Amino acid sequence: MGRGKWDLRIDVKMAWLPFCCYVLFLVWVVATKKTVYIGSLREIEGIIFVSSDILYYFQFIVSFFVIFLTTSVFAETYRPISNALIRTFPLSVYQIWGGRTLKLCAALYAVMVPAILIGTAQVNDGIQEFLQGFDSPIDPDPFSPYPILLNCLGSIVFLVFATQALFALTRHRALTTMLLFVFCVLVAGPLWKLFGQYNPFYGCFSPFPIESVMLPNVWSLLSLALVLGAALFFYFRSMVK
Amino acid sequence: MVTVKNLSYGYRKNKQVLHDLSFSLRPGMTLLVGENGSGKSTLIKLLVSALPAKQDVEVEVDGQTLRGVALKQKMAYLPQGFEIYPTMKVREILRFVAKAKGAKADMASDRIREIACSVHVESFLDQKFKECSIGTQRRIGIATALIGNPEIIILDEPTAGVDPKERIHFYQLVKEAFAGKTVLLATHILDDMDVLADDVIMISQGRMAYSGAYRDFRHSLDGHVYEIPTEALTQSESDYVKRSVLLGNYEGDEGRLYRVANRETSPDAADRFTSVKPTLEDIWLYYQEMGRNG
Repeated sequence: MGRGKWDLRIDVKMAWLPFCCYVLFLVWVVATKKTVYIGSLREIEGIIFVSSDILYYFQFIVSFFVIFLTTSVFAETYRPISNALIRTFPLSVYQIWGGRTLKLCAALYAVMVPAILIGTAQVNDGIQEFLQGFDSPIDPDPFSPYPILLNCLGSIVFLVFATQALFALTRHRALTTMLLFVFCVLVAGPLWKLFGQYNPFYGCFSPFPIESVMLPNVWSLLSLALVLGAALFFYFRSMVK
Repeated sequence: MVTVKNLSYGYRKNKQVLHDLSFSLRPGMTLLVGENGSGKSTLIKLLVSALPAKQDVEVEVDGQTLRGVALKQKMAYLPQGFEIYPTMKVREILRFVAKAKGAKADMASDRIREIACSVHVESFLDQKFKECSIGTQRRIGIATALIGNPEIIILDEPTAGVDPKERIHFYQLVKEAFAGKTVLLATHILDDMDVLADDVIMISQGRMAYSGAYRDFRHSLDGHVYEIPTEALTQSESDYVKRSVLLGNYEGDEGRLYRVANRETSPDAADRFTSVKPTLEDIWLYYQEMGRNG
């Protein structure tokens, strides 16, 4: 008998249905052009202000899918009874946790990237269409997808790690899911001002400086993800000894 | 031969659960017994690396010291209340376990069917785990323990929650399935000892109370268990009761009786002690008490 390997087919079986729902959601957003919400388009001292729901759909709403998918994939890994059995298999940290986490993040992000690119293209088309109504010609720089791509990447990575970290503490799937759902709603609502521009959902409900490629909250999301990732690594390392 | 030496463990600094345990397991069925909270599950989980430990547990297997992954490859574990991926089909669970254990040969469909047949769960292969009865689930657990043909099998209270009829079937299955292997089975059900045990390890408050052949354990108190009426004890009788292990007092045909065990000395010929045949409960209580007293 050699080193064991994690059968990824079982992760696919656990998560295929919510993952399909996630994909359908992204398709729906893109197909119905939900990102193209031009809330206000004003010119003040030569600066154009535009509102778009692109981050609301691709970051805030997607957060709920990310949390649910993470608990679906890792449910048995953290559940006490199955965790006790998994510990006894000759698996490495990468097999039990690292590889699966990377693949989950990659799967979530890979589907999101084309949706974001199409979404930003739709926003730019929307802006151009709107500007045709102005007397004086205005030709703004195109809305860039890079801040959106980075924001969503930071959000996915942070939530995948945060979900697992909370799961390791609670050992209870439903409790973990509900606590994180509540966290997302609170951070987006009553606790909005507490975090300021470091709010995980900065840009989802307010304007953000689109000229910045890396928003302040992305730094906080990735930093927290790094800390949580390190904690999870040591947790699993003690598990496979 | 599997040998464990000087095993100690504490969940916290001041909460030592296992104290310097050393024992050997030979091929056959060794039952690990002890009262609730004695440290059985902790010992089991430590051996199978299901508990975080400051350092790797070392086990000597046929003269070779093994730890970590090398030890896991030789061992199989059946936890109490076995359950993993309950919404998956039995076949999928067996395949998952085979891959996780690195047992490539056991991943093949015909090999999975063969393992399932050996524990009589072949008709459940395409059924979801959670839809199977508890008895069937335990047999599926045995099937997972057989995957990879491990040398050492460790079972943690496998008959807990199983009805008596299914328990009898389970005993048969365990004997057949694990014939020739080194098995350590933790239980607090005394009947399991009579049916299954070749050897016994008894721990009491994390310390070794008894270790040896079950045959010797079963007859260790022969001729050393006595009953005496509790009323009007002479000084000599009272002293003897105090020096002995009190197994209980109960209402007999002619009044209340003390039941005591003493391997060191016999009562005075003039005393009213009656020698009785020791039960398994007597032996259990005796060694638990001796273990408590060090």
